[in-house]
Amino acid sequence: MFGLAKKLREAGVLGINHRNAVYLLPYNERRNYPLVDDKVLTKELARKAGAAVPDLYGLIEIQAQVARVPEILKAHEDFVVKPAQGSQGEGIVVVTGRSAGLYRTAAGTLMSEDEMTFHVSNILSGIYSLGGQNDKAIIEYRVKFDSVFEKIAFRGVPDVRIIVFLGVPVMAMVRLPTRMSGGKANLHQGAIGAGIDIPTGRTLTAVWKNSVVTEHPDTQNPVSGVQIPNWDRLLDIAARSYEMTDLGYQGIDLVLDAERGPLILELNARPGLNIQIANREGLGKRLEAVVAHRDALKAVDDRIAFAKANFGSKILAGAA
Amino acid sequence: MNNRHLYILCAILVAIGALMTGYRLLVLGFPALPDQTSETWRIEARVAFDAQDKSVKAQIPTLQSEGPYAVVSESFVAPGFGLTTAKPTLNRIATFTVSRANGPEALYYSAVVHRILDRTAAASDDNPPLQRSGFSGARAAASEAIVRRLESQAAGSESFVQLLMRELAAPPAGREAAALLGPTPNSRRVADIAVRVLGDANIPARAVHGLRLDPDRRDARFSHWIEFWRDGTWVPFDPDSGALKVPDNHLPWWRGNNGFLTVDGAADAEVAVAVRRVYAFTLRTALERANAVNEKLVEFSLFGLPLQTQEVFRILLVVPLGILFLVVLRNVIGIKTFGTFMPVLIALAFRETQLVGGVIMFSFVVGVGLLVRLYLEQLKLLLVPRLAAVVMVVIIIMAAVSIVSHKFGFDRGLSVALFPIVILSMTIERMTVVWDERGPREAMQQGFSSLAVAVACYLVMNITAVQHFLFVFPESLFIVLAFCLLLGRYSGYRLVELKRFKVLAGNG
Repeated sequence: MFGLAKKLREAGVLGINHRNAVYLLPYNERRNYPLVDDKVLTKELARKAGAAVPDLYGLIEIQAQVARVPEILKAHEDFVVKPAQGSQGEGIVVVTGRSAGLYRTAAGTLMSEDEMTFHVSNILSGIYSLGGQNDKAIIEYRVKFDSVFEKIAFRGVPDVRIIVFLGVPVMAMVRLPTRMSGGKANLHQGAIGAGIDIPTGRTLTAVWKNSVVTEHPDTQNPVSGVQIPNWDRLLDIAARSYEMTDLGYQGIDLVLDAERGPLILELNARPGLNIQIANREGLGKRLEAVVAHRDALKAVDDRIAFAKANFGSKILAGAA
Repeated sequence: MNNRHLYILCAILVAIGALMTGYRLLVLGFPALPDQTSETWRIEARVAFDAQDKSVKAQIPTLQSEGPYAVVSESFVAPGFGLTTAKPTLNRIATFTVSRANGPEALYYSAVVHRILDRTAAASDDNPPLQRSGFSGARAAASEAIVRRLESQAAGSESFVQLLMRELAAPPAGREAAALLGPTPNSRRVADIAVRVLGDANIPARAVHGLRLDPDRRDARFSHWIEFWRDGTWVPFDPDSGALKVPDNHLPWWRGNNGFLTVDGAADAEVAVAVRRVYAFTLRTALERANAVNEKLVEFSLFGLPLQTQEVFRILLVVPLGILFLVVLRNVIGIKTFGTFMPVLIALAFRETQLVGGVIMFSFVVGVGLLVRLYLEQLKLLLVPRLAAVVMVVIIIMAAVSIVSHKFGFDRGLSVALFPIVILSMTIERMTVVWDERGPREAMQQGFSSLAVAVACYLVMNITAVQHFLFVFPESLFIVLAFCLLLGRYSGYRLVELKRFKVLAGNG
């Protein structure tokens, strides 16, 4: 047992206690948390920083505004309704179009106008927010994901998660929805996580549940070696997110829209550790390298260059 | 991170805790282990009578601290009666009065008595008035004869008393003593006669009535002995051994010729007395030694508190240890539980329900609550009303469990009411959320691990030696606190992470 712990430590695998005690608590100030916990604030922040986000069609803050929902929706063929402080994809409704006066959702069901307003009113009452406090409902642009993912995503939108430490993108993965995950991009719900080689933007091996896979279980297409389009642009957005939130250690979730390119979906002040499994590599050594060269890593370009030079996948290096 | 600050703080805390504990343990001699020979008794007297539709006045003597015995606490239960206590003469008398009562009534008096050896003797009284026997006729002559005969044999009051008591204990047939005692003498009568004869011999004396402190006695009988006045103090005389001491293991209760109960306005009075030894943390020797060193140390310890409050702290003081254990289970092992401290609170409830009963009741309440909650899910209720509804359902389930178990005679089921209601409701709520988001398997798994952690906490918190130690040495909590703070900066792997990241071990 201690032998295993020693091996993991040597491999630089980050445990949750280590993440919290050594990285989250010292580098993330609590007063910055609301910036990422509330998606409306995140959107505003990103917009100010010049980063692209899904367009906000409407924001419903109090019950009296719920009556305005149909009017807002009338202007859009497809859209997403979600709670501002929801977690883990709860309460998100994706509408892809209309049929016979009803809303057609991505899950394949139909919703009436009344059901939609009831859903919004539930969001406001805090049904999906973790603390149970009152929430806001966001109505926004529906992402049409890049064709590169069509073969390796089952419904839902695949997203790219990048861990950014002190402005340096240290590790990345792409999360691919499966039939098992119900179109959601959460690993614990059964989505696939594929590590990304930071210098090249190509996917590495993938993890599904607790095993290593090379093909998407639903589409049978290979998930390794896929080139993520616009990779440099993604790295740039990720590196700049540090100045946006002032959070030293954060996870940024990006989507690739077919028309608008990379968009920031959300930021996370307590990103999970599964990304290490998807990359088959520990975070520890990369984080320590960033701390060691901290003083030289002020400019965005320097930070990206440092990441590209140092954070190439060891698996690829071994294979080559 | 400034870990040095933390280490210094923890070192200070450990030092304070260790020094204070060490001082009390080694210098004052507080016992580190529970003292099974502790001597504390709970004494209960029940007085019952038939009130006869007029004003009732009942008087009983109460216990007073004396000799090696200290009355720690006392209480009266007398519904509808007015109560006054006063000490007109030797005895402290409790008087229960009611202006009108009819039918059977019961009054209760209970006291906790603590035995402390070598207490200083009570201050001596003024010279008592001498009372002649008041015998008349043949009995007066008999008394005179005994006094005259014994005075010729005895050297001083002490041997006079011994000779008299010996004679009264086994009166030779046909002699004066037999005439005085009557046909069926009991110890009460012997004490009574002895006091009166001593009066005729110019030795002030009085009867003492007390209890033999047995470990557990439902209907205890009063014992009777005498005290006589010599050189400015009252000297007890033990009729059994003939020695000048209070009979062994006897607690003096009241003195004089009166009986235990005097009651006006009622008939059929009955007195029942129970004695029970309480195995509390009495720390006899420690208290004595601390007394010798500094009484303030006892006053400013938990032993200075009323007994009931002491009971509360006996439980409260083990909670930090349970919590520390929980921190280890969560942050070092990595066991997931519903609610941070929920298992500790459930473990506290297990103290009353007992382990097996508690686990069954907990599973039942949570199980039924979960079914109801899963049904409520369909109604799409808003959060606060939904939580409120779950709380109500939990209370209803508890009431039902109590009623049914009482009906079938499982009175242990009544203690279900001690489960923390809100904590149970939150557990049910969180379990439903996990059920919905991660599936029934995960929900069950977390539910069972919560229960297992609660059981483990209960087992840790319920070790008698642990309870005793923390109660006697509350300073040791500083050490517990220090460990907790250190765990706050523990950044090693959790045990479950070893399994989770096992695949990464080979790639280093």
